[in-house]
Amino acid sequence: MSIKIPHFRTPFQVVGKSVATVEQDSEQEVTQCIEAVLQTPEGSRIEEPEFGIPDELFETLGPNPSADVYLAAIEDWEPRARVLGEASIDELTEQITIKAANP
Amino acid sequence: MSIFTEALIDNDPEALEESVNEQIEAAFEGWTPAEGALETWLTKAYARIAELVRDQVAVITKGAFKKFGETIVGVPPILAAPATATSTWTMVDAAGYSIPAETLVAIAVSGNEKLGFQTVAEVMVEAGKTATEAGEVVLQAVEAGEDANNLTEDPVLIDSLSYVSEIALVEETKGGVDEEDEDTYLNRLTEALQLLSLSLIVQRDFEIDARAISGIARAVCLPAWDGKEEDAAPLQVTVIGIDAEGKALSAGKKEELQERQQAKVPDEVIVHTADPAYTSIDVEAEVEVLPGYDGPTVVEAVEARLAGYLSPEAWGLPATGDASNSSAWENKLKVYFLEVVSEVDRVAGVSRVIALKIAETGKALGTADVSLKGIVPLAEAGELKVTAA
Repeated sequence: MSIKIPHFRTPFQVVGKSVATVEQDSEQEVTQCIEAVLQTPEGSRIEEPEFGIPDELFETLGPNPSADVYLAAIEDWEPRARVLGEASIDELTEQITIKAANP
Repeated sequence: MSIFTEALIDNDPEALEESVNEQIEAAFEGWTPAEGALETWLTKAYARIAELVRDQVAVITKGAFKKFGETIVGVPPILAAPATATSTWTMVDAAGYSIPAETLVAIAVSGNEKLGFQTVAEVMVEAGKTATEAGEVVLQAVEAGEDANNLTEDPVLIDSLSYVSEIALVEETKGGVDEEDEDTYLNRLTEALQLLSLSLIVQRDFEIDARAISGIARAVCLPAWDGKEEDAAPLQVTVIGIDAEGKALSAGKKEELQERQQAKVPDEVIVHTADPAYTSIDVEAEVEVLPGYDGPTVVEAVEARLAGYLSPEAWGLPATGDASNSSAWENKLKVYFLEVVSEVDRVAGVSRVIALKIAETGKALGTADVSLKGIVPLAEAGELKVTAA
């Protein structure tokens, strides 16, 4: 199926002589944008320092990490994702599960 | 680095990013940027880098005008120059010595302040002599500038030359020049530019100005001539222009030229335009062809060369340089026989010119130079008859 409105696939990938892309507004495209938000510490992106999630390394007094923080970051930076309000954190594996939908 | 001005270059990263996004949107209808998308990251990063580069590019330094002034306007900046002086050196005996180039000496300025000088070239003191010729050793200040001017104290050796007993300065030091600072140069350049006038003053001005009109490839200007009578006509000039093919200008084009240039001269000066005169030239030549060359091909090449040489398109253009972009027009009044021979001799494959004759079309061929008709003549190729032996 040909892609009508392409965006780079992340991680960046070259397939043959072209660059791997995903369809705009597809689940895959929105998902990789959410991943970008969650994997970027605030302040690490010079051009957009507020992009990403707060670095909670030294936030020892409150819940660590806070699921609300992730949900807020997604709502801020990926408006296409409708966060369902369900977020759980497995403290043993440090895996975060967030349910979101593309409205 | 002193800054003169900053060029109006858009260096707002958001505007640059917007520009890139617009181009992507133009390529993929419906495309919209997403903050988490890789291309958005790249666009923002490159926009920031472009901002830095554009910031640098926008800065125009005062120093940049030195290059412009020197190369375009012909106003070179004053560069620093070291002061110089002549001196006489006395040796300890007459055994014969050499004073090396760049031997360092010091000349007192005042108190204990001294400035360094050095010998410009090696100087030999022959055996039997105890001193150099008077003023033979030229000294040059180590550091350029006016500070080293007007020193009169005798130099003292810094380098160790045990055979030198005395150094005497023949004249006070002079010629040192401080480098012109940027502001001073800019002021001088500004004044020089104010002297440049758009008025047409000398012949060359009319010739260059004519080329500003579309369709005029080059022009020649004859002063003190009204374009008709041969008698001198004070305060009148006649401009003769041609197009790129060497053809005379149309009536409308000549009128445009006359009006343009009349507006650029004082009221008492009258500008006329005129056409060149064309003279057709016949050539008959016999050439010897070099072994390995095809006779008919060489003959064809010779005819082409003669046709080019005797064309109004090229007549009067400089023989060297980029003639296609030249406004130069030497008003050549004759076709010189030996020049025609030379043209033929330069064609690849021609061993030698056996015989050659030229004449104005309709007249008897000969070996004399041919005078062209008119005050501003152009040659045209007439019958070109070339044979190969």
